[in-house]
Amino acid sequence: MDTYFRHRPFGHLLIAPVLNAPLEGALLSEFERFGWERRADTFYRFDVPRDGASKARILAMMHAPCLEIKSVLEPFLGCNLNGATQLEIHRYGKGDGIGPHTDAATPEVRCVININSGWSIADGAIWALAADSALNAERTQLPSISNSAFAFSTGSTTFHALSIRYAGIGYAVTIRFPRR
Amino acid sequence: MIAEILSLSATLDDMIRSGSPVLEFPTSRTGDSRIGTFQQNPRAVDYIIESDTPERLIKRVSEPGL
Repeated sequence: MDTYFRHRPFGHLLIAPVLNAPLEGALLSEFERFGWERRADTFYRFDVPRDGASKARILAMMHAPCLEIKSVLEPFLGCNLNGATQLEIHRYGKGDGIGPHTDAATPEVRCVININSGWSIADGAIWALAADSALNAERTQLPSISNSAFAFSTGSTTFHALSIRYAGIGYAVTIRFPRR
Repeated sequence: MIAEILSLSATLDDMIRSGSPVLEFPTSRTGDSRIGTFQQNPRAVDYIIESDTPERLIKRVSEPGL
């Protein structure tokens, strides 16, 4: 688990690889067997797992990595992350994505892990990070390479978005650590 | 792998600055895709990992998905 901290457009820690290779493969296999249901509204389009039992298996598989990631994040982001950890799983197919948002409503440290069977620029699904809602201020991009992640402490300027995916399927596993 | 991420990030930044590709994002019904609020929906939380033991870690706290 190698890391690299960048201060702009907001403090975020890059992590790669996040998981060991067998676990990455196991997660991908699980996701491909899931039933999914649609979530789409004003500025986002993706799928979430339909079956609670499936998600429970993922939680059990991610338990040890969650603890390891937490131990890595605390010193970098200067936070105490002793609260209950939450997990979300999104599937992004062709035409899916999320517009710019901050997650500021929830005081958390979030770690967004990309899981997929392969990614190229032509696929789309490019993360954009910026300090403003128009994605102009100090904007930077991140690839959706599988088993890579970015983590940040939510705030009023932590704008991030996932551009529309043009091909393939990708998954985003977001670990949410309440900030104390 | 971090080096690959950083290299691709720099490549993407250069490409975006030069105008290709232009990233597209989902737009709202009003056509305003600049800012979203979906994480304020409390139903975004599916499960909570409550303890440091796998056997006791899962508690369902809300409806699936958003």
